[in-house]
Amino acid sequence: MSFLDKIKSGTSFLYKLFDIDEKNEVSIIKEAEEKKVLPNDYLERFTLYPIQNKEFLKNREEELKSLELSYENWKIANSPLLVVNDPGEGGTSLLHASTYIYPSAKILETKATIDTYDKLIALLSKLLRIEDSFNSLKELEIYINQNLESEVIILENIERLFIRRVKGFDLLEDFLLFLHATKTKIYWIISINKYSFYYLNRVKFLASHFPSIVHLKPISNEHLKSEILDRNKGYKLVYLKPTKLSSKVEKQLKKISKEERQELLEKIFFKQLFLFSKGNISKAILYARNSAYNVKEKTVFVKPIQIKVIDDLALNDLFILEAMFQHRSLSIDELNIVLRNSDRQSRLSIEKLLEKQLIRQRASINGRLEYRINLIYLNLLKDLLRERLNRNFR
Amino acid sequence: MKRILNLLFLGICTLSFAQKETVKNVKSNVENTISTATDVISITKILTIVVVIILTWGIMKLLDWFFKNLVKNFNRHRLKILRLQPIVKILVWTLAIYTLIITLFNPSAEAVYALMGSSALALGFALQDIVKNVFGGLLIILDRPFQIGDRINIKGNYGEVINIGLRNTIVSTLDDNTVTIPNSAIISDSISNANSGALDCMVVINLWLPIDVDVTQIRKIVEEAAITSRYLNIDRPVTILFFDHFDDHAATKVVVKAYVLDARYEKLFEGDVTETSKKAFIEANIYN
Repeated sequence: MSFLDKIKSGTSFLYKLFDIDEKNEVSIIKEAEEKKVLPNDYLERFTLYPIQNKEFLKNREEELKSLELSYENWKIANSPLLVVNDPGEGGTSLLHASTYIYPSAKILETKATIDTYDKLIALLSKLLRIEDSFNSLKELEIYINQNLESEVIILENIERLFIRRVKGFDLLEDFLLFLHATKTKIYWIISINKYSFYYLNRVKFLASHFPSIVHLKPISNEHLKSEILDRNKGYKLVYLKPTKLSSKVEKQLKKISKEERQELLEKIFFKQLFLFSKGNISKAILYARNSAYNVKEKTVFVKPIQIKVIDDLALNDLFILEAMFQHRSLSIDELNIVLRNSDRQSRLSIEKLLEKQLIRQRASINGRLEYRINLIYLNLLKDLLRERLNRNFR
Repeated sequence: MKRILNLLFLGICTLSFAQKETVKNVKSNVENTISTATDVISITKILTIVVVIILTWGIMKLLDWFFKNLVKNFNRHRLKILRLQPIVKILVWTLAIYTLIITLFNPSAEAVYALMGSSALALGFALQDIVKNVFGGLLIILDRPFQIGDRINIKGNYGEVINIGLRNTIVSTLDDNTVTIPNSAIISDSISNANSGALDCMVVINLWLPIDVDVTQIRKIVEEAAITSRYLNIDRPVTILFFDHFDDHAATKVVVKAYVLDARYEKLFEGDVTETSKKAFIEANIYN
């Protein structure tokens, strides 16, 4: 941490100590009004999508090595693998790109909640191309052990298999039994989000089922920078002065030449990007996209965005956010079940959180609206939950 | 006649002289008293007393505001922060009293020792109860059987300690009553402390069920009711115990021991687990 950062964090601490509001919101609103609408062909460069090829995967050599080793271990000890990652950290990309290790791997992305045995059986049967119908996981297990040879299944987002309610863990627990019963025939690679892992590990000892666990590490700053520069290839980047600057830097900027000025502003931009993204590649891409201030022909004007300070949230709002962290995304009905709230109560809280842009909504495969944490506020909200809900989550 | 007149004149002269001397004496006495009084009560001293009192009051208010904000912004360290509050306040009071004594009397070391000796005796008799309470307060702060923010049970009053003063301790009960307990009573009584400085505390929930219930099924329901509660501290274990009771009616007593994430939500947690368990029992036909 540089001296300037230390001063900044010290100032922020003093603000907190004496309960002074840091007024950042006004500047964001003002800037949003001035900001030009960026062309679609430029914005498309910042679309978040999982990488399919190992060659394009950045800074994941260590994790890929762990996956290779785990596969070799499975051949001897038949142990399944668990991959723990944060949303946007590149877990899906890693798993997709790792298929060079096991080319015949079948990938099951659970984009919606799997809340019944029938749904799970149907998904697994389809994935394994089994045409017979089964009434229970036990029947499917017998079929697999009798008829299948060696298979590799990548099951993403295992947190979609449970819902935080009485009897809401049955499906997940039965799936784990199924996983153990079929592990000689199937190499199971399961992925889970960090917060769900924290919760399920505490209440259901999830980690004990997986002798091999891979935790995704933050991407290095150099790789993040190269990713952002790659996405801007073909454009000349002009760095603008951030809204907030120390008087020392202001003075420095006035003294130096145009080229040196650009160099210094580039340094400031990437420093803020690294600080915001904390090694999360999707967050870095989002930051770069939101910082694009204007595009003129083949020149992009980049101005670092200011992330607003989260206001005081009510206890119930924090519980809603925590439930979303645990389940990755939730519909209103699911939220009512998880928090034992009334429908009206949940809707009111959701509207409030949407307005604050702390959560985002999107339609799931079955057409219902689901709500999830806004990636921009991921770390801020985690810190808030740790502080206010006394959670020892790291 | 001349002799009489001479005697009268002599008498008047003596009387007048004596009066003059008395007036002189009285005058000198009054002057002495005024001078001593001015030495003891001067404008500077009065001003100092007023300034010290106003400053102490201001510092106390400032400290209240400061600690309130600290608690608000650093909720996770709430209890540690509150622990400091009475110590800092007592230090400020001590400093204020010391300043006043020095300003008013400026006593010598011998005078201080003499004063201490005699005042100890006097205070021992006259202010016995107050002194007991003050020393009780100091003992509570030093010995720390509980802190501000702890949930304690003393003399049948269960609640959160909201202030530890020099004379008494204030507890806010679960019914939102404020109970003021003299510190001398606290140090001579047994105290049960539910969280001992930690933010979380164990909550014991009792559920009553028919005697012939399937304990495996009940254990699963009750455990899941606890682990799915929003108020649970998931970093601590959940324990479930079963007891058979044959007092009036045969019954199974289920005891759930779990930690609430913040002692302030103790009753909310208890209510949440009880309600969820009850709903699940009804759904599973446990009561029939």
